[in-house]
Order: sequence, then C-alpha cells, then structure tokens
Amino acid sequence: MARGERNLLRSIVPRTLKAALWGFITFLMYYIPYQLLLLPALMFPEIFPLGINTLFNVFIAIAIFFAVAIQLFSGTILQHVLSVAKALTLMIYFIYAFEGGIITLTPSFSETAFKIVADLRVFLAMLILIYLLGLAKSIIQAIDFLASEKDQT
Amino acid sequence: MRQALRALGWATKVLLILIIVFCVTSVYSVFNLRMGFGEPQATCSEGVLLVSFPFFVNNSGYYDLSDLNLTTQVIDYNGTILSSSATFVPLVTRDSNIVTMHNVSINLDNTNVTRLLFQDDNFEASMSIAMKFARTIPIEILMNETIPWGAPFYNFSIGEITYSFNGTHYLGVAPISFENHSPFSNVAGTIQFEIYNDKGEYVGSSRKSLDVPPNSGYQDQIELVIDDPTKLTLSGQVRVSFETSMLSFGPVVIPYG
Repeated sequence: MARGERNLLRSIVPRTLKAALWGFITFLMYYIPYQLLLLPALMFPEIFPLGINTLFNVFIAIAIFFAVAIQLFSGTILQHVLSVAKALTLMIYFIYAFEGGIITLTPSFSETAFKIVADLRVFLAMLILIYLLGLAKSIIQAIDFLASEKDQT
Repeated sequence: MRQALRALGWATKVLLILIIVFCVTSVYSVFNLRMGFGEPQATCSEGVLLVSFPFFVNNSGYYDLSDLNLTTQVIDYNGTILSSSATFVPLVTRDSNIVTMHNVSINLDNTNVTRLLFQDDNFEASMSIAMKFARTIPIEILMNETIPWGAPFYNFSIGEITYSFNGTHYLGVAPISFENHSPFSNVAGTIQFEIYNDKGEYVGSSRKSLDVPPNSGYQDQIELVIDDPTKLTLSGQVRVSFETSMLSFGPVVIPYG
C-alpha cells in the first residue's frame, strides 16, 4: 500500500468512526425524547393522525443524516455548507409538519364529528427563528473559516 | 467574529430551552384542563323555550385561557337556524374553576311547534369552543352532531265522528290516536277539541286529560258535547289545542268528513 493511500486511510477511518458515533449519539438524543413526546399520540390514536409518527421519524432521519455528514466533513468548508443546508431543511420541514402553522385534527372517538384547529404560528415562528439563528451562525462560521484559510496561505 | 458566533450560539440555546420548557408545560397543562356541561335546565315563557347548560372549566395547568367563546347553533331539517347562542368568558386564570350558564333559546312560534309536535325530524347541532391558550395560541374545537327528534304527537289522527243523543245532549264521539316518539318526556296535560261545521260555525267542544309515557302509543275516544245539533254538517274541521304547565299550543286545524 502506497504511503499516500495509508495517510488517506488514517485520516478517513477515525473521521468515519467519529461520524458514526456522533450519528448514534444524535439518534439517542432525539429518539428517546421524541418517543416520550409521542406517547400521548400513541395513547390516543383516535385524536392524533397516524402520520405524526412518520413525521417524527423523518425529523430524526434528517437530524442523523446531517450530524453524520457534518462530522464526516468537519474541518472543511463543506461542514459549514452542510450546516446551512441543515438549517434550511429543518425550516422547510417544520413549516410542512406544522401545516404552515395552523394544525387541524379530526379525532374520531365518537359518532360526533369533531375538529380541533390550533393556530401555532407563534410557536412555528419561534422554531424558525432558532434555525435562522443557526443559519446565520453557520454563514458567519463559513466566512470565518474562509478568512482563516486565506490568512494561512 | 468570535463574539458574534458566541452570542448567536447562546441566543439559539436560550430560545431552544424556552421552546422545550413551553412545550412540556403546555402538554402538561392541556392534560390538566377539564371542560364540560352540567345538567341542563329548561324553562318556557312567552313562547320561548330556554335551555340553560351549566358550562364549567377547570384549569389546573400552568397557563391562562383567555377569550373563551362558546357558541352553539341548532339547525332544522331545511337549514333554518332555530337557535344561535354564544357565551363569552374573558379569562380563566391558571389554577381556577369557572362555571357559567350557556343559554340556548328556541322561539316556539306556531309553525315551529306544530312541526316539532307532529313530525319526527333530525336537528343539526353545531358547537364551537374558541379560546387563546397561554394568551398566544388560538385553539378552536368544533363539533357537529345530528340529533334525532321524536315528535310527541307523531301520526296524530282523528277518526270518523259518530253522533248520538243521550237524552239530554247530542254527543259526538271521535276516536283519536297518536304515538309519543319523544324518548324523554311524557305527554302530560290537557287536550281540547272544538268542532266547526263546513261554514266555520262553532258546533261543540270537549277537553281531556292525557298522560302518555315516552315511546308508547295512545288510542282513545273523545266525547264532544254538541251545543246546537242543527249546525252539524257532514264535513268541517276540528281545532285541537294542547296545554301543559310549560307550554300551550294550538289550535291545529284538522279537517273531518
């Protein structure tokens, strides 16, 4: 094996292991609290729509994918690009999951037709604000990274 | 640059913690919120049936409920609004109970009453409870239900009137029958019959007390005292009126002959 290939393996293997570990930690970090949050939905399937479980799983999948990808490319400009992509993806995800902020539930626990409409736009705005802050942070980090790269050269 | 990054990081963390705390306390508060209706009370005066529902809210959560607006609407078979009522509670603070009366009034004009008394029907009742949770999140609960109505005088009919003379008075005997389809209440009161001939002249009358239990039929004969037998004709009309302690209606005109 050539020396160059050996060096490449030496840098990739720990990075991949670190990314996998980080992915697992992210899975535990999100999956357990989300399962606890899902408990009411699982306890009252007649109130909450079945799709809610899928939505949670998609969120966890997005979080794990970006956690692994960001770790895999840490120390490169791609890390910051992926952080920006993560913030944008999660913003779109939350807008979709919250149906634009106005959620309509149609429980079917009796013959009476029920409809619950919750206007969660304030809550959604707060969530989007978090990811906007994250987006701004990632952009500044990317600029900082590029500036420090330029300084080194 | 570093300080800006640090500030953004802290702002994100603080917001995230606030959202998580708000989520957890909101879920807890919603599960500790109780709403419902007590035993309704009905009164009838001046042709208006008023049903009062005690509406209670027990808020043992962490957040106030504001602008609570309860509205109900009752719509009959052809889409006519029979009743539209609203009750507004400006604020239900946390750790507090409120009980307020929600009044549903139905105008019992003669058209309404006649239909309600003689024909089975279905009502569409819709209810909406709108409120602001934690003074920021508007929530609305909408309910629609079809309520079957059982007419207390369903299939009311008067048979052929036969006449006789008992030595002092001329009498008319009319068989009457109906079914009380009302699932809850007895048909209890006094029923009055007045016979008019084909020229619209008064011929005779009679009163009878009734007490018919729910979901049962009634068949009987009613004896009418004829004041002036010369006015009797083969056809005419019977005017039926009904009186209870709560309401009176009539006359309902039924042709005979």
